[in-house]
Amino acid sequence: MWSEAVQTMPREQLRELQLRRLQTLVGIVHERVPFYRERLDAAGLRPGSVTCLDDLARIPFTSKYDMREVFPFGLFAVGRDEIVEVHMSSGTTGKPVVGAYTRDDVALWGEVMARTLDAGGLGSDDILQVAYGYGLFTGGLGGHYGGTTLGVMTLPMSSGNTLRQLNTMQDFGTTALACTPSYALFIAEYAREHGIDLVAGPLRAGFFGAEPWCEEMRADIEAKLGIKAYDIYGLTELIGPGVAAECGEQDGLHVFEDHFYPEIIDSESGAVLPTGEKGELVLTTLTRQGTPVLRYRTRDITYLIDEPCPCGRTSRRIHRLMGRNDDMLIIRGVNVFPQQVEEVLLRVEGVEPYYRIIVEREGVMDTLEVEVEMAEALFSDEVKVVLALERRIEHELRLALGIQAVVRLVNPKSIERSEGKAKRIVDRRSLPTGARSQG
Amino acid sequence: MILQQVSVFLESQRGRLAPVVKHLGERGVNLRALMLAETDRFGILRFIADDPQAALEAVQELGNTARLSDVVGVEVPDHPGALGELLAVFEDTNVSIEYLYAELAGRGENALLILKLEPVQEALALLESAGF
Repeated sequence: MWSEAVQTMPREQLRELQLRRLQTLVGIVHERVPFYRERLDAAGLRPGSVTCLDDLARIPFTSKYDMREVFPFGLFAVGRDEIVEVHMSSGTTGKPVVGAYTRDDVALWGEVMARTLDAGGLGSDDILQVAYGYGLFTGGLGGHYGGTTLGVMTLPMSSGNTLRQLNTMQDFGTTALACTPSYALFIAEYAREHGIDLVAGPLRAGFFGAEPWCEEMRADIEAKLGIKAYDIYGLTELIGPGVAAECGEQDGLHVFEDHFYPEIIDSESGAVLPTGEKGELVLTTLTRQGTPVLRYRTRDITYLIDEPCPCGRTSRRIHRLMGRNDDMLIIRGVNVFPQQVEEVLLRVEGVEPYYRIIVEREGVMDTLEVEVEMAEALFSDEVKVVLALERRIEHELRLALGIQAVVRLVNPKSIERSEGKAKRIVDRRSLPTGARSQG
Repeated sequence: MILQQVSVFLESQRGRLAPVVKHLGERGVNLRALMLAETDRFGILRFIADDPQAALEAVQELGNTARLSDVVGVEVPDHPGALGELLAVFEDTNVSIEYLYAELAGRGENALLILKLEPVQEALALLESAGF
């Protein structure tokens, strides 16, 4: 096992390590990050206030909203000269969230992603094809650093160009694939259509995350690709992928607890829930240097599993994600918030702010449709004028969301008006129970 | 002559046209000429009625987006080649024909064509000087 000593560390020892690291972290952010200092001070906390892990519950939460408010440098805990890499995730509206990495952070990322790949049985004889997007998105480089740290031959394919993915798989004898689960299915379908048999080939493991998927989809991927499909978890706000990952048991994701401390809270009250109770996952980085995060509210719903795992890892596990408690949609690996759609529509003169977002899975690809009411001011007797309007809205949506959306114009007043929270989202994908948006 | 045409937005779903036409009938609107333009996303029903304002209101009662727009009605003799003679008027001019359709019932020796022409004033002047 990769980093066996720390991954199988007795629980008491692990808790001591966590506490020591938490105390150091609180001291550092209090000293160097005004954002955290103000919040700790307001909560009556000083660096010395944390005397046990339960004291973590006294520290205020950090939200995605908070993080984008201080864009781009507000959460840096080191000088900019120490940062060697930056990633970003889409924010709800406007500004994104920045994750900045020191050299040690990049090494840490490689370490936790090496653990992720090792948990799925990879070793130096393996050939890993990374088909997550490379770039500001953390999937590509996260998988990449994991592969190179573990000593796996790593093919930095990035996403797309499926024929080339398949050719490379065959030419090199790729044994492992890292990408979004929907892209894995797309590759499988594409291979079948082109008469390429992947089941009989050397491909044997896949590392899938960045979007919600369910057991049925796992079974489908495993059958069509002839592999074991592992669920992996992470988020840009923390580090990217590498926060938690399944082992060979495929029964919950081991949180790499010596670096990321998990809590489950009641979303309404903010109270920490006992182990085993379902709630919102909150994570604290224990060792990040560039952009450490205290008690980040992930909005992901799961519960902690504390029973010993047959694999020997002593860390607690999180159950596969069971949904979200905000209205964020994850479509083809991209975070989409309804507010982004609303902002685009408000920019187009004459468009009423009534819309409905419809997400479906056609075959293996997620599709995004936005229904917009055809207001009188927009209507024309000429087809080309109405088509141009559709294209303009689609273009603006593409710029704002980063993915293709299809606009469908509907009759005025046909979209439900609501006094309270309007039903803006229809998610028809088959996702884990509760994963549908609550929006 | 300038006619006021009613245009109606139709969602691209089965069964969107019939209720509009049925409602117009119930409101006593007689359709003189009509044309349905369709794309894979939506449709636009265009028609000429005796009382355009009443027809517009009837459609709006149903909740459909609709509007009035100016089109040109031209009577042409009901014989082969007549349309060609009409269109020849616009050859080598700035006028473009956006769309064109015909009245449902004939007018004795003549047929009434409905044209969307741009720019409309120039088109009308050309038609007049050509004797249409």
